[in-house]
Amino acid sequence: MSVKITDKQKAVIEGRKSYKSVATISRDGELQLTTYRYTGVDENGNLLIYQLIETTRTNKNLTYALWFEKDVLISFSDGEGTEFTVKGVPVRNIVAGPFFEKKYRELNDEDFENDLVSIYVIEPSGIIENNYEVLRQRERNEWGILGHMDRDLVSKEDLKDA
Amino acid sequence: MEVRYSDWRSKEESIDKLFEKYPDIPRFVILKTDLHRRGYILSERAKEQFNPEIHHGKGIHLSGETDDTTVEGLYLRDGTAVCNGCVTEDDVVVRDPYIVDYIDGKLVITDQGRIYEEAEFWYKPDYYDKFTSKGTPMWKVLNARGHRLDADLNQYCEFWDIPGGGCKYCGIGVYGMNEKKCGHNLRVDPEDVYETLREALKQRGRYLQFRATQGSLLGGKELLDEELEVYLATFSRIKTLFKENGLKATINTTAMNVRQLERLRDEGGVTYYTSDIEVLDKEKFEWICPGKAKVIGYDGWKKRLYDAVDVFGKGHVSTDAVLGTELATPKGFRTEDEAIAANLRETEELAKHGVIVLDFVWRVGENTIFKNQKSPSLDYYIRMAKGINEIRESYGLSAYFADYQRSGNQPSTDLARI
Ligand code: SF4
Repeated sequence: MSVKITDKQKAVIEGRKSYKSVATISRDGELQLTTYRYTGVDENGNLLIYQLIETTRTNKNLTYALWFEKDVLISFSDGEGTEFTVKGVPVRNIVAGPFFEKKYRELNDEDFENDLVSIYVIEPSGIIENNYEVLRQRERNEWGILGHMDRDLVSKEDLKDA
Repeated sequence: MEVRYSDWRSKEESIDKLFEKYPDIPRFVILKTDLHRRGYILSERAKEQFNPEIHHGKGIHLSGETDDTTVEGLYLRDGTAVCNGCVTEDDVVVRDPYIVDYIDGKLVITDQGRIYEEAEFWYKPDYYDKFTSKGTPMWKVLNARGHRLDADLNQYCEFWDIPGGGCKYCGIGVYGMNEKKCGHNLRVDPEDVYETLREALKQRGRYLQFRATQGSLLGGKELLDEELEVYLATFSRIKTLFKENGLKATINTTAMNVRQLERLRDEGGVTYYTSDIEVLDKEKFEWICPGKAKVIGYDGWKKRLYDAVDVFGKGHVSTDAVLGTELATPKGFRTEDEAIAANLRETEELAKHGVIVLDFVWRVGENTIFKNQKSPSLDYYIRMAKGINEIRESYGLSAYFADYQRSGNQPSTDLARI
């Protein structure tokens, strides 16, 4: 696997309080963005999406992506500045077996309302840092030509009315 | 293994050609369809990977018991189920089957040395080695078709008692007849079903649906009353396990009348109903299913399906078609095009009335009247699956109750996933 999810990112992916959004495309080309409750990382470093509802558009789109090898994006934020997006293609949809049943029991024990339809396995092909501070710093370091001129005055005093 | 139609490869489009011809149909579904059509056999290496303590081998079916020499089913990587088709060297087949092999640490589906997909054996149910309080082995009470618990409540079909009345593709007749002659019990005890179901559900996260069917029982005060009572005895018992309206079940009966359907709904707690017309053309139906034609008739069967929509609701009623039998010789359709046109016309007619058609891929059975026939091309089944799915969508009918997880048998409902 070319892209590796770091331990810090794994903690956010698995964090119950993290924000997780899955962006997919439908068979008709429509975009869909959906918040998810549970995601994880397997022992091979693949991203796992725990699909709790059968009838959602995103569930259909994830299957569509698996069938026709389309990318999906999964965005994460811990609300404290760690933000990133994992890009990848679903390579498997687990619907049965010991791993599925173990996860079903875990999620169901955590909240009895949780059902588990399937577990999508996403092989990451890229991880994009979305953290505002990181992006801002990178742009300022790499692209000095960008941004408003008044921000780079030597003294903020020059911004004041005469 | 005897292969009846050994030169089929030179006469039919290959699966690779069909992958290209239908870029909008997922390869998983095309492959599954062909696995159902041609069947598959395990290589010696794959057999070594199959462990009947872990994987699902033996099972109980309407057509008899299977043992651990065959596997019950496979999953493909996308969760698609392969429910039928495991054959052995002793079988007679129409076309040579796929070979499930074990290569580089993976179970794979191969044909002529080419690897098509990864596969996974289904898992042995936790209840399988247990016994009911009456001492019945639970694996003989319910079969687990993937996520579905199947109860075949009576294994004898009385259409075989009408001279020439059995359906010509059906392998249930010979089995039931022999068992009956031997004096074996062909009925499943409702209490056994109740206990096995309760035990099965201890395996959390495995089962999504209970399905009951049986061979037709024509007797009773009114036609099929006896069959009705068998269903009610089981359903009225098992529904006590669940909250009100909580029984996730389907039932597949001989086409019943309104009074009987209402009893299934009101006393049995049934919410989804299936009755298999099997052949989507009146003339072919009368030839292929003579018993059904004589007792209920093609138009009568359809009327009862429409009545079922009034009882259970639009989209809660389906009918299976054993696709391909309508091309059998000498009285079937002459060409696949002609058969597809007729099938889809009838599918649409049924959909207009709220009835869903489910496509069953015909595998010619050795112990059937049609044993010397040959099933149609893979192209035929792809076109049918696509057509049925499109009709269902255009009439706003969902296939969830018989979808890739709850049934796993029909290519058209696999297509409904997206
Ligand atoms: S109704 Fe036809 S297909 Fe069904 S069990 Fe009887 S003979 Fe077989």
